[in-house]
Amino acid sequence: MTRRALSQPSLVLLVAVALAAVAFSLARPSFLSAGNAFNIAEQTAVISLVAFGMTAVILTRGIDLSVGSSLALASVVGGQVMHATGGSAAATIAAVFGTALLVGALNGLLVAVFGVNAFMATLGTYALAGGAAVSISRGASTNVGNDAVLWLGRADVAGVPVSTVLTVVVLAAFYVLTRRTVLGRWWYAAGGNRTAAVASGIPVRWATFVAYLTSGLTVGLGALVTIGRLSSIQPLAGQGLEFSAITAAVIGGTSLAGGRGDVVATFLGSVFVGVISAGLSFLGVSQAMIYVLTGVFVVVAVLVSQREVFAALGERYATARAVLANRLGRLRRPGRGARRGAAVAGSEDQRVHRLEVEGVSKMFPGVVALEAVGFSIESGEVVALMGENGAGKSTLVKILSGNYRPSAGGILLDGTPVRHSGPEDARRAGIAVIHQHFTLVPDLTVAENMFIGEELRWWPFGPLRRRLMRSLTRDLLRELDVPVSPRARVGALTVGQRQMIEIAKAIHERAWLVIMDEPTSALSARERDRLYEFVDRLRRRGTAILYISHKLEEIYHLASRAVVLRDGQVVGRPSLAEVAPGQLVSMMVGRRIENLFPYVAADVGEDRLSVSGLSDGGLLKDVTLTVREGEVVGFVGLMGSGRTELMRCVVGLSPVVAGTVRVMGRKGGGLSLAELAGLGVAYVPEDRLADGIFPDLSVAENMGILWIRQASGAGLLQVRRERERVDELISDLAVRPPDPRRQIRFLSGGNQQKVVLGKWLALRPKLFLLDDPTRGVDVGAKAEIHDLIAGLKSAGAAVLLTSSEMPEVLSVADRVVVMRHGVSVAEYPRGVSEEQVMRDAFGERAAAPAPGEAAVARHTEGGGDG
Amino acid sequence: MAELTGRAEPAPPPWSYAVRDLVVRFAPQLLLVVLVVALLLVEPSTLRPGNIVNVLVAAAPIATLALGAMWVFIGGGLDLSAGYGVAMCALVLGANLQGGTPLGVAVGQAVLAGMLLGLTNGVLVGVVGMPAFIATLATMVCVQGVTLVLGGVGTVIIDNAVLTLIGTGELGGVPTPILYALGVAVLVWVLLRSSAFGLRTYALGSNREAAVTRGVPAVRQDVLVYVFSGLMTAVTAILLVARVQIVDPKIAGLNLLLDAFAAAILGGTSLFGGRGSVFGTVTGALIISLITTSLVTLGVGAQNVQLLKGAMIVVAVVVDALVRALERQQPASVEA
Repeated sequence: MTRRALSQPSLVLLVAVALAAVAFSLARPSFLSAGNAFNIAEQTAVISLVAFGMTAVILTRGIDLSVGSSLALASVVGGQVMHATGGSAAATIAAVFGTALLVGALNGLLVAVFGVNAFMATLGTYALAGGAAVSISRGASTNVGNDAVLWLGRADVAGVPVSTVLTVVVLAAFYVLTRRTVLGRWWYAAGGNRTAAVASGIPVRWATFVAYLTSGLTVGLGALVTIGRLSSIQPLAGQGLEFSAITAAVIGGTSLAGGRGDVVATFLGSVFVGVISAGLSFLGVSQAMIYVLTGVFVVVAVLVSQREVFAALGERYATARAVLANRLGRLRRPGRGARRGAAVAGSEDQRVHRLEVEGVSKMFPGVVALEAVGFSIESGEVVALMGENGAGKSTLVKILSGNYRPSAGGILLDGTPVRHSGPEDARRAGIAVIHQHFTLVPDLTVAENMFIGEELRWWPFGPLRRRLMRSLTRDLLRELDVPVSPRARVGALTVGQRQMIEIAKAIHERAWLVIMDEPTSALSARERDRLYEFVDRLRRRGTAILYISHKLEEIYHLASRAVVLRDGQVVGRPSLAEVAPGQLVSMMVGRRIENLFPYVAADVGEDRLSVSGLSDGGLLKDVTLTVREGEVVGFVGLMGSGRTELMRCVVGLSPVVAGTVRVMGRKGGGLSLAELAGLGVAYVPEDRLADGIFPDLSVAENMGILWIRQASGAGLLQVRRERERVDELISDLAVRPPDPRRQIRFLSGGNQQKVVLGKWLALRPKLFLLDDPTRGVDVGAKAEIHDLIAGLKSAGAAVLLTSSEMPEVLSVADRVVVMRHGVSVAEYPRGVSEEQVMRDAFGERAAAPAPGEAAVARHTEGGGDG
Repeated sequence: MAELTGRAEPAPPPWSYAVRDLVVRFAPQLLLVVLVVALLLVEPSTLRPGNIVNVLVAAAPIATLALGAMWVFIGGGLDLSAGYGVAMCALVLGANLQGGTPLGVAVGQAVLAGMLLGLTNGVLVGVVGMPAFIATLATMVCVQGVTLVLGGVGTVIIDNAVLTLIGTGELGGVPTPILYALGVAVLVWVLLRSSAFGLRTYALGSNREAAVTRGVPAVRQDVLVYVFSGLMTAVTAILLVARVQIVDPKIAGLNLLLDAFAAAILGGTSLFGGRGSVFGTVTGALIISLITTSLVTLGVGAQNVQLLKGAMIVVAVVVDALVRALERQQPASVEA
């Protein structure tokens, strides 16, 4: 395997246990005697056993609070069965395990199937099982004299207690389960990144369910050991066990956020707690002090062993510094507090503002994102910012909003140079950015959202002036003509309404320049029309709007001027009254070096994928396309046109509502991703971080995650074969650094993407669905990925490819299918011009004022590389 | 064009949404009504005035502790130490009174103990950044130890006129514990509605990132939330001491905490933060108390009360998940 035998928390704990043992034995030499050691081992056996199961559950990002109650219930039921069967050991043991597994199954059902929050679900079964234990036993304990039942907790083998042997055996079993089986790998994957696990065809629900069952199994073992140790059945046995087990796991470095943990460390965590409490009582410390010290040790151990706590500390320190710096900045700039509050809607400040961007450049290591960009915007005008993805629009916005500082050049506000040291400064200068993800608090009302962080109060630290805040909000919304009640909960609003509230909030904060980044991409037609009217109102009341959009139609509708970016430079600042849509498109696209991604011809064979009339009941309306052996089909369309949705639908991650999918000549609709992977389908999702990688797993574990399912007989990992396969892929794909043990989150974007590709290549698939595989990848890795695609094609693979950069698709594809609003509207052979494709993607005819000009534009640029 | 590309907006009968809205909004109260009706059908005598008073009195400490738990839940956290925290505060109060300290000072010390516990939790979660579960689990274990130390003096019998009035007296025919809890609930409601502290607690629990972007001081807020929870443990401890008048380490613990959690969750408080109301939580406390009390009056043995309560909690958890699923289907449109 790819991990070191002992994790870092294990080493820390091992040292801690040793130090504690030495310290105690210095104080009382008899502490180290064999008898005492076994005594400690016996005391910790139950906690260790249950903590192993708990670790499995926490790995899947769950928690099991029911273990203590479940242990009591299992014992009690066992006792009843023993009584009823006249002392049958087999029946008793079966009843104990049966009960514990039943509680585990109930937990699994609630969490994995019903999707109830694990804390709540197991809190419920905690109460239920605890109540049942008391109820069935009538609160009375029973003595047990059956040696077979008592054996686990009582007997010893060659002087070693059986419970100790059992703990070691179960530890070994769990080690194998978590490190050497497919199931164990799935636990890590499901807890580490659930959506990526789903997008890799892992049966997440099943794996989660089994984790709770496993926890039930360890509870059964724990119950038998407990019965043996006490020689009786106690309805209150196991009280507080859940907390001890969770403590052991967490001290051992198991992350409550899921996906990270290690049973050996859990074991050492439980030994550590055991040694401390045994040692303290050995020294004659009172039980009370043992509790207190245990609590303190838990805090210290967690601080030492849990990485994320350390990370959070660092983050908090940085935030505190930033806040302090901000406060100091505010002190130096007085009068801000007075500006806010009563002066809603900026009604007193009607001055005309002007923002000038002069020669702004932005360099990133190895990339020039912006080069000498200049333009201006002033109050009361709508300016469109246009350009293809990667042209530098978002970098420019980040400079305006204070997130980035320009490498050269600067910004003038009303003629005076300003330097934003952070977003707060930009906000103070009256510049607001409306992002696609909102910064509203969903559970608060509209009025509360307007004022949160800057609440109006009767006096400093006094009660809120709710009525005033509401009426001011109502006034503002009325002025802007936004038909939303100030009392409405933001979470219940439509996306369009939220967007208007977000903008209203910016106006409330006295923004005179509002930057909107593709605001209509998530809106319905009706909402979109409302937004248009809203933008127009804002303009008339003197707000400046920098409007980013791909949609020619709305740009002509709203804006008076456009600033067109290409490759980080301004290529035009046309007045929209004087430029035809076709010319605008030509400006954005420009001429390009087409040979960056070489094209290789290959023999085309039979259909691998054929889709007809496909709809997912949502964004995807009606798509028809085929992909054949030895062919790359480029699938292009604007953001939100349904490219990603088509791929998700084909691979079984969203339902087929209408139409048919045929994969490898067989009916594909209704198959799960895992089944399709078995047929030879590979799927690389668009969002690498969210859906592609398991950040806490190593390169090798990421690459092997699919392969292990097919190559592992009986669920056991073939460690050596996996290693060989992974090494082969790492060298084939030239993953850098070529270290299979490195955690994938430390790799660059391009190398992460190679690993994601490798994950599928391990299965030797025949049909590839690649959703923007070069997104966020540097140029070198991009070329490597395209070489790889060309190689796959020559070897007879069928590839369906999307990209956010159109020239890339056009230069490598054999055919191009264009999507618009969820419908496949056109198909072209290789050699189609980018203008033609863009025109189809925009649906330009609906907006173009003069069709003749568009036709002319086609001929000025056309041709492609042929 | 616009007609073709616009997303379909189906319009089912508005009344069905209105009903659903009411169910989602008043789910805890509906549950209480259903429970009362069921009890009336099974055994009307369980709802005699005397029994109702018992239910209300038993609900009082659950409600006060649940209001603290609710506040922490709304802020997106969790306080496991509150149960034993009540015992600790009660012991501080008891030990002081036994030592002859005046009531005011003794109560002050109990409140101080509770807030100190809260401060510790707040620092661990807010400043150090530990997960709330682990931090409060660790302090819970510590507090358990502290209660043993404080309980070392043995059981304390309280004899204080004011506490006797709070615990067992009546004002205008209404038992004072009910008035006490009611008063606390009103204060918490006012604080939640009318203070920036309350509003910001909702904001942080609902969308932490957005709230921080808007300038809500997250660390200070986190610390305050746990201090408030500590205050509520002390408030609960005072009521409990007044009622039972015998103080030992067993006066409160995990069971009371679980009752409080269940009350808060049944009352519609979200474990993920951002949601919860005083009205709902008090209703939740009434439900828990009604179940416990009426099961005893129905002749269910003390042992089975726990079982049925556990079953109720499981049912409530599933119902809660269903209500949330219902809510997600709601039409997203609220206009003035």
